[in-house]
Amino acid sequence: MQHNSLAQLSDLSRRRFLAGLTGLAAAGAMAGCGGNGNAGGGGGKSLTFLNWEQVKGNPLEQAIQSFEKESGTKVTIQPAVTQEYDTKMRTLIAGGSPPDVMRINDDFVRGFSQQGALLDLKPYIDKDKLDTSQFAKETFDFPQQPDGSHTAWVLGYEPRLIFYNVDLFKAAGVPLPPTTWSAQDWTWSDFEEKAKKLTDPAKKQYGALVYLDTGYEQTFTVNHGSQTGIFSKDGTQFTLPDGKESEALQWATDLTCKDKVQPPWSALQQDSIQNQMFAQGKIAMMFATFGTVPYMRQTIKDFTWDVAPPPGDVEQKTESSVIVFCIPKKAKNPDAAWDLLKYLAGEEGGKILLQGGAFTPINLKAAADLAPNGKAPEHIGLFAEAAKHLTATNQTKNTIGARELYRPALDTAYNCEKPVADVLQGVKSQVENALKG
Amino acid sequence: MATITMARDTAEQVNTADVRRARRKQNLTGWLFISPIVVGVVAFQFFPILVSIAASLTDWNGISAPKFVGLKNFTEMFGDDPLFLQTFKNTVYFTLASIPLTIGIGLVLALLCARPIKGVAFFRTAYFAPYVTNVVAIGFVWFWFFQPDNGVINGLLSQLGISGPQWLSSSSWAMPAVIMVSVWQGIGYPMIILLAGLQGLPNEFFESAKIDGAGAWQRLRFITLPLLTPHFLFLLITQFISSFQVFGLIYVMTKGGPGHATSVYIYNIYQNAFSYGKVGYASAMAWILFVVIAAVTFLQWKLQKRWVFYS
Repeated sequence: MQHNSLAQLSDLSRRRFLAGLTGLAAAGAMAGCGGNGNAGGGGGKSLTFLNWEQVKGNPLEQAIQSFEKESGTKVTIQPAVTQEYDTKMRTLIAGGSPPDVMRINDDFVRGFSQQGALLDLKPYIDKDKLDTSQFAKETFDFPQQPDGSHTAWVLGYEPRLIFYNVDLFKAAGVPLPPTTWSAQDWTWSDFEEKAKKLTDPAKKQYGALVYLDTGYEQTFTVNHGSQTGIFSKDGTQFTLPDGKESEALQWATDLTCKDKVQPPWSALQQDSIQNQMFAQGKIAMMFATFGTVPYMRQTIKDFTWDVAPPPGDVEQKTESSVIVFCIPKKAKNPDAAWDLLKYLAGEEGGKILLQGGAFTPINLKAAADLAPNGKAPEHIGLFAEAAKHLTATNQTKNTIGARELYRPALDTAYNCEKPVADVLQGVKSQVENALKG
Repeated sequence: MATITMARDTAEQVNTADVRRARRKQNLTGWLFISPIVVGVVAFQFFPILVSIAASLTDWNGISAPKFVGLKNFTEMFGDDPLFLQTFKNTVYFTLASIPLTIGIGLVLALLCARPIKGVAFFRTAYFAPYVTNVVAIGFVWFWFFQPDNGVINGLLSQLGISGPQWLSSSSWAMPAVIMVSVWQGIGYPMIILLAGLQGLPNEFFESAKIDGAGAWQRLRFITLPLLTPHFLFLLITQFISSFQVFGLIYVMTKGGPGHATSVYIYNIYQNAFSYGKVGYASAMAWILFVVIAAVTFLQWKLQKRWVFYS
């Protein structure tokens, strides 16, 4: 009797189990169907899009909507990722199901191209007989690889300038910086002198902030007479520890360690703290990118602010971040993705993007509309003129790996514990080893 | 008689066959029930383990095809990568500092919370709460507390006339700061384990000791602590494994900085795999970590004979 009951129970359990398993499998299959693929619907063209910033509510969303209307293509914007975007991007590409269009850190373009992860857009450019003279040349050429392929697409660029608090200058009786790309009365020593006069320890008010924006490494070394900046032209040598380059970084570091006119490194470890401090009137002059303009416009209500070129030394140049997107080689809808990129870089798309005020569109006709339009900064046109004063970091096989080595090491110098030259010489061989890729 | 015996034998044989069949069915049902777990373990544990062994012998960026390089990753690790050694040292520093503090303070709290006083349940809960709180939330909150200019810690120190250090941006104070947070977060676990141990200790030992005139300290020293040694062994092993794999707090609070002062081994693996795209190298590092943890755990297990007492 007992074993019969057991057998019955076993049969019953197995049947129930198998039924349950089938149900689970069916549910899983349905969930799988719903969770992947393009959400285009309606049988039309569709594509997926990933950016590391929120797209909703920004001109980028308007530009994408305009593209959708014009082309009939449905663009599914995937959720924004602000933290560890690079990790997510690498994982998506490695996983074999990346979005059709994705933002890419400009430091990754060379390495990812060499690894064969990015689609070559050259055949598309040639096929469409695209007029490339409509684009800012230096930035348009950025994604060109040594083998002639064009593996990413630049939508715009963000030059770096000196943002300054006009009211603090006036209160301290300090003459304002120049309003043109001129180094007259605007040398490094002029900058330093002004910073000293604008510093008030009692109010925790600092005259300058240079070394937090990492674009200062290339800008200030080149302006001090370096021929290469951070890396050699062929991307194999780490030239930042050399004489001119170390001197430039030491000068910026000494604004804290010797002159005490720049916030200490320890006070700058929170995200976006520099923007908050500037908006609170705690920093008189700050080296920052065009991308900070929307935040400043939105936040600063109680004082006047403007922009000026970086102070000149041997040269007067500035590094510009580039807004780069790519189509992964494994993208499912590369043709539709190309159409979107082409639209965003065109005159119509560029004019919409310009409204955001975060970067200069790569399209020259669209960029020509860059004007204050009654909003600060009054001399916003200096960003457009910056296109004639650009310096760019030489590309390497592993820029990100090199940076992960030398930038943390520089903390010691920024904390005033060691000279810049000693720190950089200490990591030179490791960095050059990383540059081998 | 013979016929009766044969009939009984046949009946028994049939009976036995039925039982076997039922058992087989029962076993099959059991296997079917656990099969999702087995499939899961094979697919998501054994298979990745095999892949990581293979990957450790390759130069692989996770995107293009892996290239077999033999033991190059391992030789590079010990020969050409100063960060390997530094992050290993940082991990040992973190482990050696955090384990004694966590278990030590956990023991004190367990002894206090074992007393039958009013409201003790509140304290038990309060001490255990950080352990079950999300590490990212904890990291962010303490990140703010440790701010040099406007943080709570330096604010309190300044009330006492002490100028606080730069904490997370100081190469000498960053790791102690992270250890402090780790200990604060982790003491609830040893407290609960040791509290359970204390509540299970046989009362007769203590009564006999009292009759013999042993004081509170002597009872703790010669009865309580020896009887808790199995719990200490368990805590040592588990805390060692978790300390050697610390990642969340470092990631949120310091990102390994300043310089590489708080860059620990797992963080180094993470950076190699996801920042530098050196998946093969990161796999090799993971296997070295596995060997170290396995060896130390084995050693701890073997050495227990010398100091662990099972009553």
